[in-house]
Amino acid sequence: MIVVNTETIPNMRIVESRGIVQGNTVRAKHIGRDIAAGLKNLVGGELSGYTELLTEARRQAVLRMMGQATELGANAIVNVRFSTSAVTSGAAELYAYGTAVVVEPVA
Amino acid sequence: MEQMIGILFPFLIIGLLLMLGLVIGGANERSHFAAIRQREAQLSYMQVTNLKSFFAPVAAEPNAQMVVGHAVITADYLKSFFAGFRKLFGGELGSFNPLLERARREAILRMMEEAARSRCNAVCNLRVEATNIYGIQNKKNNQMVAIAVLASGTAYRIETHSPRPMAS
Repeated sequence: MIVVNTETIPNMRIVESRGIVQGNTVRAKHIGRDIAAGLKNLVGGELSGYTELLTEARRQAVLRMMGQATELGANAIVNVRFSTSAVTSGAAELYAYGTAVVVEPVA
Repeated sequence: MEQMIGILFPFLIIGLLLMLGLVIGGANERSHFAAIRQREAQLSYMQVTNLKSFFAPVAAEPNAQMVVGHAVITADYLKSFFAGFRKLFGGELGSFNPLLERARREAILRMMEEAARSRCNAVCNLRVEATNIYGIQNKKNNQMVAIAVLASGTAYRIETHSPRPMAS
């Protein structure tokens, strides 16, 4: 499955559109990470636990989106967008959406 | 005397935390900026645009693909303290500017590194998005600030040899 966030795919032609596909996930880290983050807040710097959390969440959301696209019989997703929001403190929602399309290589 | 210590103790703690922010937070920030500059110089060959279309002729291999970079950076106590102070008068929260800049540049760099790993040398349709992941619950005591940045784009390889017209 080809996933891009542009409207077209180079060297490919979009034959058919199968509509919007989306995937979302809300994730939280355990309390230990939150305490560590609270301490880190005193000295500043990267919260690698949360970076990891977002990376996992994004992967999950994209996988769910790709699952939907497969169900619709598409072989690519174009114009993918992400949106993040904080649902509660220490939990992040990640939402990915795009247009499922059928593409074929340009002869 | 003991009473004096009792009164001064909270101030001492705050002073200590401020020093911690100033010394460790400051050193952290400087080394991070140095690392960012160095990595940016290494990747300076990469053509990154936020145009929706492919800027240059696209090579057949590797396929165009989405690349993503994340970074979550938190403020130190000194920055939060200054920001809290600043809120009394309003105006620009200057202490948070470098924080956001660090988070954005780090996320974009990670995205570019992912593109470089899959042998791409250009990224188009770059999108950068930031949220404060502490922002909702801590409305009352909004001391905690952690900026989560998500950068995404489409990576591709620029065709340098064949004189094909620009891909749309």
